[in-house]
Amino acid sequence: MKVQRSRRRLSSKVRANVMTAQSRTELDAKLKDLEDKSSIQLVVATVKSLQGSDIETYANGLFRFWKLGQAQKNNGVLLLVAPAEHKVRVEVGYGLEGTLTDALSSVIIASAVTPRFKAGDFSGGIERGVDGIINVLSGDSADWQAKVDVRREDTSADFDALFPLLFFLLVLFVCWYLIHHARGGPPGSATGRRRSHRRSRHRIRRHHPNPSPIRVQSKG
Amino acid sequence: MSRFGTILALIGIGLTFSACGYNTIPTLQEQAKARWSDVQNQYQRRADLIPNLVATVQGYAAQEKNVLTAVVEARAKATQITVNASDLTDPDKLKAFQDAQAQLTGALGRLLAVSENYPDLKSNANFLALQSQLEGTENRIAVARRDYIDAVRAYNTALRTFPTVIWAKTAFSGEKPMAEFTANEGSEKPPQVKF
Repeated sequence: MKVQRSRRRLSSKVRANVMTAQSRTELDAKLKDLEDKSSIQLVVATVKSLQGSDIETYANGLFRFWKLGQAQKNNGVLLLVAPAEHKVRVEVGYGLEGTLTDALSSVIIASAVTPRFKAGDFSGGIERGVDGIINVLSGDSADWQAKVDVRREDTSADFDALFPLLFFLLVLFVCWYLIHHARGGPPGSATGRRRSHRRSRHRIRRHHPNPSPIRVQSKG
Repeated sequence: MSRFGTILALIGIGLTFSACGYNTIPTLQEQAKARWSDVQNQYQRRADLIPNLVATVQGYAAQEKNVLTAVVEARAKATQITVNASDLTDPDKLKAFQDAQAQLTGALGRLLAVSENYPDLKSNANFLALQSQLEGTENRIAVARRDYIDAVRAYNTALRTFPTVIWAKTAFSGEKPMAEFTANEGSEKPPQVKF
């Protein structure tokens, strides 16, 4: 798992620098605090242009590009601001959709963010928006756990990736085992006896009349 | 030693099987089916929102009877048509599903347009919440459709390209390509965006 992923940055060509340096530092601290406490990854992005796309598509694309949130919990949130297009969007990971619903997102945008943006106060609008989102995500501390009861996706992905390797190693081991045991007689285990018995079809071999369970390995 | 030769040959064949993408076709097929159930989920979610929305609008704009009944009827029709994952290879079934949902989209659009004429309705908190949920669901539908189309494209490509085509023609000769949505909403091909 990647742990420290809170420092997501757009290249300066894409980013719209609408926040003051001071509020950006404060915001960073706030977002980091949220991630440390709840593992929820909230990221704010401002873009100069949506490059002809609508904000929903752009936000979804950026959310997936950054792989926000923990992969298994899908608990990322992206607040995307496009000042040139006058658009704001809160993109919520699947695991948090039940907590930060579309209705709540739209209320936050309409009541906390847009009025300040209209007054030209981007820093203030983003700050208030982030506060609202964090408020909703935190809920009452009592039912915090219940609210962030995220839907988990299957965890077999890691195993799937490893499976061919494991299989290959197993095959290697089997080959090694067979070849090794074809050469010298194994210490008289059950398989060893069965094998030497099998080999006797190909090669005449002198058997002890009464083979002891433990035999000393002898070449030739 | 010929016995070991046989065993090694069998192992070798087994390795060739998995290395040449024997698993690829079933994997991609299951992925496409999963994406399809996402699509149906999101449409169902929209259908679930509608009774509340209709009830709210009725409270303020009962005289818009035509628009309201159109929505209710379109919803009833749309929820009747579901497409099982095994029927995805049938383009006609998919088209029927899509047409029914498109009709519902149209009816909903008219309902929302009409509600612009009622200031009381527009400022009703319940209505606003429902409207934003509906918008969010439409977005999710668009995303789910796009994902489904991508998954189907990958699956159909695997059926026709080397080396998986070998398995498509032999072991999985019964598997047909899946149907895509016909692009009529313009949401299928998102513009390429650089971040």
